[in-house]
Amino acid sequence: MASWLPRRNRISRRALLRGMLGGSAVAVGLPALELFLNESGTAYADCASGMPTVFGIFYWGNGMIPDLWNPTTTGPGYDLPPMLSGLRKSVMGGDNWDVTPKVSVVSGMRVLTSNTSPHGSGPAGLFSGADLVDDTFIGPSLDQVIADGFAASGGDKRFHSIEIGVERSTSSWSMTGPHMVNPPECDPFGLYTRIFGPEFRLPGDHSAPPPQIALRHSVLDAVGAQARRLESRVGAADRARLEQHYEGIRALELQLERLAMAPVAPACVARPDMPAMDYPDREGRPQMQAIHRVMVDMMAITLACDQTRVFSEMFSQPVNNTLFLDAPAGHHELTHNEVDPQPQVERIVTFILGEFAYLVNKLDSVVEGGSTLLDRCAILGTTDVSYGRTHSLEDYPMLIAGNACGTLRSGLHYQSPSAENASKVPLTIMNALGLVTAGYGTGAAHTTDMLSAIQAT
Amino acid sequence: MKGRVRAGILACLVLASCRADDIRVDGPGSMGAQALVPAPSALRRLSVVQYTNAIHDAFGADIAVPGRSALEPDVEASGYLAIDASSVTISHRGVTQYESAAYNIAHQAMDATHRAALVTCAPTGSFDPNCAQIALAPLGRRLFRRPMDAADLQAASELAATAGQALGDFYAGLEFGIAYLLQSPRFLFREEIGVDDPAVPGERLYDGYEMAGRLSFFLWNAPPDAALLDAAAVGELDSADGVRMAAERLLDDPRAESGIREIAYEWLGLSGLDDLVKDTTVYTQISPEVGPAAREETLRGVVHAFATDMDVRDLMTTHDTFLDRKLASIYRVRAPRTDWGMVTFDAHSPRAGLLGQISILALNAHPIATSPTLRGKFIRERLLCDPVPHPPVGVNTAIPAPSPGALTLRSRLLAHQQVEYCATCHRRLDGIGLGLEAFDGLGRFRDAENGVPIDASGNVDGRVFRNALELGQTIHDDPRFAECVVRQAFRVATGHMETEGEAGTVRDLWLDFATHGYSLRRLVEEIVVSDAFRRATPQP
Repeated sequence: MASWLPRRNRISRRALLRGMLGGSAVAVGLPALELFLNESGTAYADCASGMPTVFGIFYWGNGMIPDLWNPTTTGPGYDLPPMLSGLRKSVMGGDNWDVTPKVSVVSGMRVLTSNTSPHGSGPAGLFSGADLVDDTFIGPSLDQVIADGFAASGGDKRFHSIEIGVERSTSSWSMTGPHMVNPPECDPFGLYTRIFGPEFRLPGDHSAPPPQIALRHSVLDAVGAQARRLESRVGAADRARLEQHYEGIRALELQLERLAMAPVAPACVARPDMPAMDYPDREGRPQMQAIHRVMVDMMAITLACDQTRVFSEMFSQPVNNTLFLDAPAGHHELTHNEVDPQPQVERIVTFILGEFAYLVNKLDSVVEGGSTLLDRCAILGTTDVSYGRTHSLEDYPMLIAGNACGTLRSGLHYQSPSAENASKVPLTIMNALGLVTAGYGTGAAHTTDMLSAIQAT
Repeated sequence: MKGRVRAGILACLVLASCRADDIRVDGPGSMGAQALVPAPSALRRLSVVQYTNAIHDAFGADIAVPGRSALEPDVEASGYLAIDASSVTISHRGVTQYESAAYNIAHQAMDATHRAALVTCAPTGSFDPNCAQIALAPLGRRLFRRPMDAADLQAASELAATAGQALGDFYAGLEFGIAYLLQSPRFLFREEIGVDDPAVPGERLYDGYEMAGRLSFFLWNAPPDAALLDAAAVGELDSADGVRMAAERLLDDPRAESGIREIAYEWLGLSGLDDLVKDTTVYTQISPEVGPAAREETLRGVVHAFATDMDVRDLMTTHDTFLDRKLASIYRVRAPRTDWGMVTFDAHSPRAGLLGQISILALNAHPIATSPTLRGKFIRERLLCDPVPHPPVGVNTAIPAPSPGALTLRSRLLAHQQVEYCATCHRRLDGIGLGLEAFDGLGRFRDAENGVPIDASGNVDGRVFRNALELGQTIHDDPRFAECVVRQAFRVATGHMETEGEAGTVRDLWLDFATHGYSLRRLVEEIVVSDAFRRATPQP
């Protein structure tokens, strides 16, 4: 069965068609992003540990308060203002970590879109390199461009990318193209089943796969062929949508192929514990912390077992009115209506950043030889606006955890002296992951410059 | 993602389009002379409900369809699921979910109780492509909403027979043939492309099978039944008269209730009621059932208006509604003898019509407080089809805290409106939304806030009201309301926002609506026989 053979180095047609960033509202037929391997070809190959680099996004809604966020000192050993205090925790019998040496804080930069959509223009600028057009991104989001880059160099894994969420929602900034949302998995049990269901193999399992796997593969082949027949009958927009369906079918075929090959990963030793079937709200308040932590624990094993190289977490949504902690009103309502100095908003963002630190600490606790899982990651922590009250895009909050196998500098605070273009950050991260591009963003958001302050020398 | 961007607190607005000087308050006037330019066709992805209905139709109503979170979710665009269905694709995760669902459903369909009805031939062994084809052809016709073409039928039966051989079991093999049908883009997308109309170069007509799907998904929120596919096969849906005949049959069928519910659900934007966020210490009666129950009340009211051929405008003023015990306790009225029985608020009740319902009042409010801004926005956008722009950026949106001089939200908002920059738009929203201040963030009646009597007066573009009842009457009397109902139903029917080229159609539909007692049944029937519903231009 020829179709059963792994197709390494197969460059996805979609990756070529829409392998561009910030080009235009039409994803097909425009100058492609110049996306290459770097000179040493490390996009696919790997860190000293033999394991590949990983990109992640941690995202929350409704911004922060600059005065309570930005460290007052720059460089290594930065001080921790209230909202960042969760990066260092020492709770008797509870959370205990100091992840500041592994987290860089970037402040004072500006997302350069025209800011036409409160809560929409910020992430659109940062993740797609342009403002929203027709209420959607003009092209794929940063995580998908990076996943496509890994795939184009033969380095993607069982899952092209994994999107998770804590607040129940079907929305995400992870977009395969205009109107092509990748809905987050918000149900811990659903995530477990998808990754660690009966088909999952631990290293060393070389038993013959059940015959159903090959039969499912044949069915997918036939469905793909049918999608192609249908494509020939429709207009350009529908063709792009069917092509995306086709790519999804191909991705699932690849997943089945890769399932047959047990992973080779030193820190992949056991499935995670099965999560609860349900995490019901308590008195109208969602169990944000419990859900987040069980999801993160599963993601850590997913990454340790080399199942994907790209993930994003929508911790909470833009404009969400979640009742956090014991706050007396919803988060979004508070950002606008609470009187200065907004103590409730401060508590909520501080809590969220503590959960970001939980993620960082969790990945850092997975030891792979002489380094940790976190050390091969670049995780961008950010939100949808800067100051929640005013929807500003100046002084945009960005955190970077991990050093992508020593290519990024960790543990420092960089404060831009000149409101630099925030597009420099995604461009620098892509470069650190071995994906060389000519630039990032369009129009005012376009840049070809790296942020050298966070690059390892 | 659009829903999220759209749903702002709108704490402060100012834009040129906020001026109130171009509002038409006349009726529909004379017949539109404007020629139709049909909209481009687009494939629509099945919604979760449509997928579920299709499975039940094809395999049996007792088949367990994987739940909402196990299927690609519906997403809102411009506030409408139906419109998003015309632009979304299927994500990688969605492909995986549809695959799992397909095998799960196929396995149930081939169990001992279901297979007899679906497989009418006797297999000669585990490998029998002929019998597989006999079983799969009618299933494919139901699922694809048209006869299977030769390539599809061959692919399906070969997959089934090969799998039967590999597994040593014909029926186990057939599951793979069924799984092929269920993962097919011809099933998951509504294949509506149209055929060139020789009489009008550059335009297309939806063919009979496409019209069958358009009719049944709009009127039943479900795929066509066998009779409708048969009508398509003999060309009965190729003319407006034939479409009208078919529509009358569908509207007489009890399943029309599903179609009407879908229109109301989309029109009033009721999806958020699944995840209503309310503080339980403030709203002690809140529980996870309240949001869905409140939606049920509203949907039943609209279905009732349809079934009794009510003047739809009376939805704004009626004292009749449908309650379960939980809702009755929140409204503080006697519960109906059985859940969802009709309850009539007494003549002195401060509550009437849609604007007195928990669904609208709780959804358009904050977790702990009311929001005249959100409520005003709901009335403008959903009831008057008057779009409200995004709030501007870079402004301080804080509302002053309660103070001895400003104990009510109304007085605090007035302070907020001292800034002319903000006031331009806020008056247009808050000035309407404050009319519902006698209902708290959950929709319970109150006559005072912090000890100060509620003032629920205001005006809608100059027409003054003193309280919620008069606000409802004002909307009822506003010609824009009836026109907006037309637009809303048209959007759900066609899966797109009405275009310039369809302005004449919308005006004609509005005129017809106004001259036929504002009958919902009449409206949806006129929509489906209109050229705008039957014709298309090719997608570029």
